[in-house]
Amino acid sequence: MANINMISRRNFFDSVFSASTNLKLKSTSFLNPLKAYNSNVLKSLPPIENEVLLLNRTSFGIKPADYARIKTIGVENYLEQQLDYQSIDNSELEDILDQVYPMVDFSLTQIVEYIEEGNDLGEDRIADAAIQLISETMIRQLYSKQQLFEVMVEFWTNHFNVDIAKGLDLIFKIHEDKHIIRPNSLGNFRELLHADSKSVAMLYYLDNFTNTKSGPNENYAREIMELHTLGVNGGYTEDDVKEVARCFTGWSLGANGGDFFEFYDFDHDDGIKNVLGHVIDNQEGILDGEQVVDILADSSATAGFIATKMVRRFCSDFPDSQLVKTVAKTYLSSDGDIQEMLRTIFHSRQFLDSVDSKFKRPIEFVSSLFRSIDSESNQINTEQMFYPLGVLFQEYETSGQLPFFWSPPTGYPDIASYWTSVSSLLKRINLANGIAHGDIEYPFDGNYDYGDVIGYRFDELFEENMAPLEIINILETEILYRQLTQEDSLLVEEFLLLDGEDVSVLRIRAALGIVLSSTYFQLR
Amino acid sequence: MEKNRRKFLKDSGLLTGGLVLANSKGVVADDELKVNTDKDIIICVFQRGAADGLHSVVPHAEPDYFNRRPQTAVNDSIDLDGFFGLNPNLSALKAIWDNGDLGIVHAVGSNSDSRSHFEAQDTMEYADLDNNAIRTGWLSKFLTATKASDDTVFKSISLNNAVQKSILGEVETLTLSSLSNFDILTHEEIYGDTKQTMSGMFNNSDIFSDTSSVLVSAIDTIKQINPNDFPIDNGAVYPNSGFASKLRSLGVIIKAELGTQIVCVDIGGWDHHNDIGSAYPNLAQNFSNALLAFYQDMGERMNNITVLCMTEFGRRIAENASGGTDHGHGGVMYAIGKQVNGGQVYADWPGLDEGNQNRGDLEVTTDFREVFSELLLKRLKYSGTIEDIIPDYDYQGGIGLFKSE
Repeated sequence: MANINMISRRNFFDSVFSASTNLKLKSTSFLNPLKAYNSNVLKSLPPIENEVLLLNRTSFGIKPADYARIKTIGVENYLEQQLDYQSIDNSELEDILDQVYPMVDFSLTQIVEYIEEGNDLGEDRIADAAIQLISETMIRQLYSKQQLFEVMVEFWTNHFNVDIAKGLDLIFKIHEDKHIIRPNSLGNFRELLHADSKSVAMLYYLDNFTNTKSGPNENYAREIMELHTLGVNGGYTEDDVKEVARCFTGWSLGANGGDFFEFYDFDHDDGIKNVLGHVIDNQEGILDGEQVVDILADSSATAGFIATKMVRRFCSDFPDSQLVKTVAKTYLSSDGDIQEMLRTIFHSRQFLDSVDSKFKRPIEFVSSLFRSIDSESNQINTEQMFYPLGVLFQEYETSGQLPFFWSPPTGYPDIASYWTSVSSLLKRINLANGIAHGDIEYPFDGNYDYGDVIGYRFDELFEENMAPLEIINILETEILYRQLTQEDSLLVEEFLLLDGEDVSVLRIRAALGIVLSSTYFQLR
Repeated sequence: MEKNRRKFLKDSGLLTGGLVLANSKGVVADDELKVNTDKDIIICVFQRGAADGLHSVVPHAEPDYFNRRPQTAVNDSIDLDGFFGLNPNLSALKAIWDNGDLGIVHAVGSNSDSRSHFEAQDTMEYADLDNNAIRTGWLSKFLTATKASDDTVFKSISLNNAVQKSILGEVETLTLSSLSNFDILTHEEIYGDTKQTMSGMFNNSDIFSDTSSVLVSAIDTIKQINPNDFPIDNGAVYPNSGFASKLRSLGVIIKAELGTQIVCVDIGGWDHHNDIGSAYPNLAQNFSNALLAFYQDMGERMNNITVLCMTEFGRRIAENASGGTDHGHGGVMYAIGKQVNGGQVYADWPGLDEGNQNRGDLEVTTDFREVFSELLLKRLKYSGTIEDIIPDYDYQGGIGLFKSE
């Protein structure tokens, strides 16, 4: 295992830096309402089971075992188990991650010591911890049994976006992920917001660490309202931005590069402030910023903004306004209870009506490919579980969705029009076909052949000379968990029969590739 | 749907009999593909991150410039007109200037006061200051307005993974960063069948029917192009960088005459808050050497090509404590081509003294929309109403940057 870790470290190191340059070249374009796809047309696709809909939306792709499980215990029990994530035994994965990625649990002081030790030895270790965090995140998305939890970790990571490639955030982000995002992802929004306002990664990323009485910096003050709570039309003014900035003066990094936030009283502006109609006049300076966080968390604009983003994540690129209102109501009545908001969404009629309204972003498409074809016998605690890592890294980097690498504070767009382009479609086609044929080269050192792993699940499902209709049936029940339209089914059948009645393995693999790159598999 | 299908058949060559393969000079498109001869090919280069205009096109005759930037001022700029000089790291651009094919616009930008990268990029790419409106890209609006039956899938190209907002809209844009491996990679025996079945299924689905038909016809055309048939001309040397290799690929596409009209390409990394002295040189050299190589490679074709480089805003006049510059206001645009009235810096110069500043930043005296409008009218021969592409903008007749023949 140590071996894999070393191989991956070396290669990831290069990738991280090339990725950080590449991603800077990317446009930040998203949201093109004119090209929004027409969900009426999509409704003509055959219906899917509610179990499949819930699995698709609450995971990084359906594994055969997940499907079997939800069919046994039912949608409601499955959802409650996923929400009560700590009751799901994930220890097998946690044990292995502890061994392979120990730096994810380092304190910032430990990371700095480790880097300095490297400097003495002439080794550049600056990105090692970040590489471990990125790798571990991708591995968790693939294998964790706490899938909804991982989905929410990604959601909040994106909501409170921090670009790991920005200077010291290469180190600080480790702390934010472990101590702020993860503990609160299925908890309470108010607590998450309080915790994040004291995140060293965020204080650094949005420059609040330089925000002082004598030299105010409005960056964080603006973004906490525009992007974290109220939304751009949430009713604040430019004066509110200035006043909130005054409240957060002196909120900075620990003096000795310590793990935690530090408040510097001598940098704090003690005057009376007026924020969104509230007079702020505290004896203790640190209370000013904390009071702002509470004012923002209390706001109905915040409730609406968070509800909109959650409904966009789980239902549709174009959130239904009635559902948004209902979820916002839940936010206000539960004081920002994230689990309660999720229940409101998943129990709604709009959720059940939202079939085929969400498109897989790169992380969901690629993860779901691996999750769908992974053999059940390819389990945690084998070297094989790390095989996809190189492919994931390469695909996410070239598709522009490497975890923690979005540079502006908006977070990765959660809307199909940003992610659908000619070249991205081609990338998906080629990855899906490469995997189906077992042709993906393991990018580390050529010693591994992922094809063997794929072949395993392939051989479990298919055999040479199988009847075309049987093949299609397996593709529908074991890969897509839904039926093809008659038209599409006929196209696949014709494809399988092009060499005659005896269907070769090559053609079956190609049919699998076709289905894995189809619209059916690109929706979630 | 029928229309899409016809377009697909046409684009993929199934209706026209395919591209005509020519002699050793390489692929020559058939007559139908030779379009847009009266309009320029427009290449929009976006310098993302807010490039420092004062560090690039230096007002060396302004003592205030040196006073406000004691650590970072450029002392050895290459004089252009007695007032402005080029940063030596942009020296490649001087060769284009000397040919009279480079025009520079200074103190240009948006009247919006936003100092946010993403808001300001949006404003520029939509050419629309109303950020509550549903907006589409300015070049995409041009493409929609001038859509023609003989448009090819190469008409608008993004040299990025994702389509830039400037060309995001109704017309499907081909995204392409390299010509190699632009194909469905699978086993030869089943390649054709796989492609056909796949596009059949994509055509049945509304989301991907346009994207996949553009993809398939682009694949079929690109397959016939051998970059070796289009060698780099005039001794041009493309530097070794992603930006340069994109321009080299674009050069091949242009030489193959595939009906290209609008191209967008990004070059990022200009957000120099810290230590501009160490971060700027490589980037500026890569940027300018790649543009020079492309300009030389295109040779006489520059008669019908206009390159316009832009950035979301400039940077603060005074440097900051860490040897960088923070977000500012007025910036610089570069226009390259033989239809550019070059050898001039176009600036209604606001000066650097306090009275003329915009919150400590270089004032904007030329609206970027004036330049866009002039480009649309003179180089894209746009005959519609400017307001349809650039909402709420009153065109002033241009700054004379482009020739109007």
